[in-house]
Amino acid sequence: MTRLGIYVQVPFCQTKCTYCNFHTGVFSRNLHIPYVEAVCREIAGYPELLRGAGIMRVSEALVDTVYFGGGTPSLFDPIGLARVLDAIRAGFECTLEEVTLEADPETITSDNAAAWREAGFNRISMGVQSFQDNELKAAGRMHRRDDVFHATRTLREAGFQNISFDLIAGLPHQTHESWDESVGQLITLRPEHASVYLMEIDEGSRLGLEVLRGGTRYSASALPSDDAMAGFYERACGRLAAAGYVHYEISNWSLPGFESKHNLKYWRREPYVGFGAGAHSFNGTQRWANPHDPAAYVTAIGQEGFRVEQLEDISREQALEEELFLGLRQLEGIDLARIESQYSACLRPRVEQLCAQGLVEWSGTRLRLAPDRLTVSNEVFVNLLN
Amino acid sequence: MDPRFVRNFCIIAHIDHGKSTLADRLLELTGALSQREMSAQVLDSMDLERERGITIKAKSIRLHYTAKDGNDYQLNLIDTPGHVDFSYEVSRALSACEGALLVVDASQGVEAQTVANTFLAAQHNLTIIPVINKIDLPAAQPEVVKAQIENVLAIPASDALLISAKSGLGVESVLEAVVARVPPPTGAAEAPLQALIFDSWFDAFRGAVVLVRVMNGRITRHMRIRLCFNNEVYEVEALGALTPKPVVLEELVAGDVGFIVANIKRVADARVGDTVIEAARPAPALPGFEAIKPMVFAGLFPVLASDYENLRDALGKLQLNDAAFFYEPENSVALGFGFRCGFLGLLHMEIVQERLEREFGINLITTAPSVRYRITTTAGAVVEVDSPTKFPPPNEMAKIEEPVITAMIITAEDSVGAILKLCEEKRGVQKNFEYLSPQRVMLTYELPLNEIVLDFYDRLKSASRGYASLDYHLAGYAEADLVKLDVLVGGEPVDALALVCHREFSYERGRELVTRLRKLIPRQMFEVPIQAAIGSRVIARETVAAMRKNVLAKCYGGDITRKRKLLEKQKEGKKRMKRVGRVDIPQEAFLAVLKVHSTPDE
Repeated sequence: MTRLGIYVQVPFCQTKCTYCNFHTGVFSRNLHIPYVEAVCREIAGYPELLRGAGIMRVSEALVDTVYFGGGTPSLFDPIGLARVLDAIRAGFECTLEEVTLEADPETITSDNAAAWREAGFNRISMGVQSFQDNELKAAGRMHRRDDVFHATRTLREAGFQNISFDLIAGLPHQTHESWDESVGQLITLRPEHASVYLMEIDEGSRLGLEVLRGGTRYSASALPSDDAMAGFYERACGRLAAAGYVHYEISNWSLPGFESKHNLKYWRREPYVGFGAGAHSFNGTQRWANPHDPAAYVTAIGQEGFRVEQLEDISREQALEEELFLGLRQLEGIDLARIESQYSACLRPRVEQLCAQGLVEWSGTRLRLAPDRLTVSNEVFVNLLN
Repeated sequence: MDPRFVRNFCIIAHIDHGKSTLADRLLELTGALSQREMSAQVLDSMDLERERGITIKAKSIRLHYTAKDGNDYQLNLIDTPGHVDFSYEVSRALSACEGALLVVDASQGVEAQTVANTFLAAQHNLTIIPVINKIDLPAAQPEVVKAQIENVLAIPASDALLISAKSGLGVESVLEAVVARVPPPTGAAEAPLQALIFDSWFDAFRGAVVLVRVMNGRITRHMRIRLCFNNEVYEVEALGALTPKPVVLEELVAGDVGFIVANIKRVADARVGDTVIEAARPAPALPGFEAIKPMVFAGLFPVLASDYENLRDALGKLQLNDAAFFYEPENSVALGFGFRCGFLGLLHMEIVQERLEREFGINLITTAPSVRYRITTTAGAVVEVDSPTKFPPPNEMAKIEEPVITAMIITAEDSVGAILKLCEEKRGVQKNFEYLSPQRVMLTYELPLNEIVLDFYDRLKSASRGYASLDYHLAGYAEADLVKLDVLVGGEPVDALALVCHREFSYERGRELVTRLRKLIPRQMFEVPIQAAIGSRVIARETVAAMRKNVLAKCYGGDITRKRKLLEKQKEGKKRMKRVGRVDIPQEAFLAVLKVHSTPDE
């Protein structure tokens, strides 16, 4: 049986964070129920939908991970989330090992937590981002430091034994001291899993636009420098390692055994199916996505005219590149010999160059990013692209 | 036709004062073209010319006009290039005429090119007819402009024609004035042939098409002619006039203007200013010929090495039509294979660059323009050097001379201060300072050409908020204390960034250049020193710190495409850079040399 991951996209938020460059938005609550129904319809009609689009279905799939991401899936009524999980159980053969819900701290109440447990969620990924109120406020986050303590306690009381925290290195107003303090708080609360994302500045977010075009509204001028951000990240690496966290992917750490099974599928090119507006899927040879606009998605789904977007047959060459730039994100690296023989590719000369520059390490069989140069990993990836 | 009924004239004007519009109106009025055939501005046939509103190549058009005196006249309108880069071609075109219409914008008044062209016309003893154009504009001040023409140009302007070429107002009076005031050509039809070449262009089927003014004698079909400069003999295959459509004729006689086709392979064989004589009845060459030399030089390199062959083909094609344009292969350590090109001036350079990019689709890196230096070595040899990279080592140079120009600048009184400062900074020597009116000043400066080619014109425009006009001509060579400034990136000299400047400014230039480069060279995986040096002495240094952050963070719900696109974008960016040693240098960095000093605060 092939292990299959399912991703459910919930592109709804209470407010849009200033740094967000994803297709999410603040939509009317009236859309929540129709959206849940649409996702359930999509799941039920999934085999026909793929057939109609000329997409190969993953055969003999066993669903072992489900991930509700967003947006803010925890905004939805737990009954709705449960209905989607039920639809998945009905539509697929499942042995659910890891069922994750992304949740913002202010949405975590004991009623919700209990309902999520009841529905079958066993992992909560909390968008903490920072423990400093001024940073949270400037970023447009709804919660404050105390909400994180409260939410963590609530989740533990409800019985969640697998919690993940997200932190962002590089928020406006962040300093070395405030960053250290946030990382320290995380370590004290000891979630099983932690993600540290470096701030990305691009025209896709309001904050990014302000950096590029100027302005004062989103505190672009208070952004730490690239060097400072890289420093934050490196500080976090040291402190998390000392606290017993295993650094297993560029942005991800866990206590031993708590790596995100679902997210690893992305890096290992294992199949996953996405449901919901803007969700992405991969069946091993093809990648595709659903329409981004939730209202359009709700209307179109189940109709004759529904079409997936960006359907792409992954060429051998692309697949090879993906193996490299996705696989190398894992700190354990990749089996170069396996990849070279599978793709009849000769990567050694380029690898040796990168070794000479100190950007990668090569043991003879496994190739991995140099642990002290992770912040410039794109240099390696770009060099490995054809 | 009886020469008494022939008039050869040209139109001279500052840019945008309405020369091409007036020419179109004259064509329309004489029925040379119906209104339907007129696409605006027939004389400017190249797209680029039309876009920039500049006539680049001279052409001539034969018009037939029945004047109020009842006689039929043949009017040959000879167009002249309107830019200082082409002043030699202007002078040859003027030699083909007896009269000139001096067009001045009624609101702008006399500008630098007005003055320069009028002086040229006067030198050629042309009858000058002042024409004040755009009198229908609200800001028109015909009386003020008349006074300027009299005071500045010393041309009587009481009978200046007041017209609007755009609306057609008064244009008929222009034709009448040409007939009445421009003298008919003189010259003996029976004397041995002497014809002045004032333009030529390349036709894929016929070779060089040559425009001539017959000064003496006659040209007939099948005549064996000799071109004085290359001393080759050709047989005339066809001749005629442009109306503007070509009309084939049997002969061109003294006083006539027309084209000849004689199986001349290259435009370079039929040089502007050369004399056509009859092989069987030799006559002396007409005076005034110069083999024109490029004054401004720059390296043109393809962004993609694979475009090299295309570039070479394109340059070959351009040269077919442009004898003034020169190129030879050049190999740069930083930029790879390309060409060292010579141009008449900056506009000429820009035109060639744009044509290469637009018509031939080649992306170019152009190095900072340079001039031709005359260097006396310690061994006593004199060499001409048109590129900083060809400079001998400092200890082998005894004397460096640089080309110097005489520049005429006309500007509003309130910007004089800023312009004087600019000229001082550019090592200018003031030759004259004259009030044309209480509000307008004419400055004459001697300036090193090297300082002009960098960024003088842009800075002049910004110092005068766009009002100052400039015209210049080469005044000779002068010794100067010049040094070659080398730029080292990551310890490696980057030949394409080297420049020549005055020793006194070398520290400042060097410092500005490395500061600018530091901002333009992206951070690399390692620290990159950027140094400016004279010989082995480093005079300025900046450092690009090593890159710390280039990482993709979150993978939103398995969206790999987005990650791939970002990486591909970075990869593309890298491809557009040139690698020197270990350092990737973006194209903009090579242009930094051009911008030195233009915006000190940036």
